[in-house]
Amino acid sequence: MSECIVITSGKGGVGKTTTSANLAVALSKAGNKVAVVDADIGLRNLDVILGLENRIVYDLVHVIEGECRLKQALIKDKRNKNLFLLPAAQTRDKNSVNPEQMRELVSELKEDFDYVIVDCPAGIEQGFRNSIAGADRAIIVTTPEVSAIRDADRIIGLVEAAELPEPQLIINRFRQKMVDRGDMMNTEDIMEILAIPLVGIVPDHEEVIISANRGVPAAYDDESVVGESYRRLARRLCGEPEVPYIALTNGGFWSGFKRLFGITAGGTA
Amino acid sequence: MASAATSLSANVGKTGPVTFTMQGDEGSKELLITLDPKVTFNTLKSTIIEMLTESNEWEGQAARLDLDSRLIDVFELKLMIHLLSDSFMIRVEAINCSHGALTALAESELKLKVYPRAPIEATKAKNETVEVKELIAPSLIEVPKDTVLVAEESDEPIGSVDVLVESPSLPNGADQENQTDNVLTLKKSLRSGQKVRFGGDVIVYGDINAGAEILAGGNIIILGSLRGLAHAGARGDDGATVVAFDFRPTQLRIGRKFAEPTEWSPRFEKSYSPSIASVHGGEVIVEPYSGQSHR
Repeated sequence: MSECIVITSGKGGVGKTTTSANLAVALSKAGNKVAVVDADIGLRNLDVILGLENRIVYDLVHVIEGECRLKQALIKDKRNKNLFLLPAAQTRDKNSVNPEQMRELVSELKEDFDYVIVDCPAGIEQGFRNSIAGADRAIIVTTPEVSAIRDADRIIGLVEAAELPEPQLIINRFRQKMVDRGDMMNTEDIMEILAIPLVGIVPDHEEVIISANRGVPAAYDDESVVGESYRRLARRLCGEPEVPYIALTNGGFWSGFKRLFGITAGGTA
Repeated sequence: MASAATSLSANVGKTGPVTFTMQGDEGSKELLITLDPKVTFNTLKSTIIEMLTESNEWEGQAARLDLDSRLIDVFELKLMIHLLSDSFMIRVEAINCSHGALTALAESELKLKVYPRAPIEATKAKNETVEVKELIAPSLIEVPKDTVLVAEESDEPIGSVDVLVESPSLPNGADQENQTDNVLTLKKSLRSGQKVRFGGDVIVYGDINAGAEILAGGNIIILGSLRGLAHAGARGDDGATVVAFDFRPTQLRIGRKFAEPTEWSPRFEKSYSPSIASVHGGEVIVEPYSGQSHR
């Protein structure tokens, strides 16, 4: 049964697009047929992160306005025959699309794909409403910062009001050393405020920026800890909720893969 | 009405879907406009226009709308109030409505089940008197005296909740026990951007997160964390209190007093000590809650 997952956060710059790209790669590497939709019309980035910006001919707005067929606009990934991108229009804005059109688009995509990942723009306006329109569930991305958490809280309220099932949480840019020094909120603090199930923790690492610049998401790199975080996230989303978290211990991120006690996916603090 | 015992009433209106009655003693006279709950608002409006065009007897009068058992349609109610004020100089200051109508309003606005705390006895419910008014601290926003504000229609984005309900107006010396009926119980946390305004006391079985707001005419009790904004005694009652199990609001207001938490609200520290905020000597004081009323 296919499913549409929207990746949202409220605040900008917390890693929605990176998460969408890596989650799509990880899901497709696991053998699923995945379409990733860039709903950030006017400020498209997902094509760059996936390294597909040179192949765009048609985009989401073209499809919705009937200028091309959906299949013509979908761009097949370079490395992975299971992954397709539906890029956003760069020369239009959020109001070019309405929620009803998005709902139709997503249901058409769901006929051909196992997973449809929608990369939601920042904010709570039209772009957000379009993005959640066709979604079966939402994943909230936050960073361990007070402002990001407050915006995530707002978004969770809006997702609940839209009558989607309880959203799940990804904590991005997590820095264990700062938490140990008491300079960053720890997972329990965040979970206590947001009170939704955790599905992933992604460490803050420079390889995220390097991979974004190269247009090759970290989830392709089997050696990468960030990539491993996303691969585990994908497994948790595909019915393996007990996949252990990568230990981000005092010795740094790289001291090995250990179970981080006290946190299991699906549980709330 | 709660004030029925102290009021003189003389029926000077006609029988029909709308009845005008003067009530109250010298000095605080009030025009009671009773609206038949079985008649549509449109019919009521045309009846009112017909009746008031004949007579300017009540011009400039403060009035109370009696909705009887009618459900509250905020939009229609607002139109009615504007009609009375704009066309006939009758200033609606209060409404009477049933407890069921209030609960229905709260439920439709909140999209939550609302359980009034105390069971409502049939006789009491019949005599319920409730005012619907903009609930803004007088100290914060100046509202012109002759302006009648009712529950605003919310054109805020989805997810915003906003309940505007005032407590029964109690004559001086009235039995404070009546207040127990006027409690809003929220069995849910309020997230950032969500707001509850209620005229009586509010009890929350959950958290008030940063960015959420809770405004109550009475006291606020939070059986969880208070991280957002709480305003108790929002009609200017400095005697109101705020109690929370985990007390670290971004901002706290009691009556006309305003407090910016400093030392008791460290962001990274867990407090988990139940605290109570109240006004003493003109200042908002927060102290550990020992289980005793500070009023």
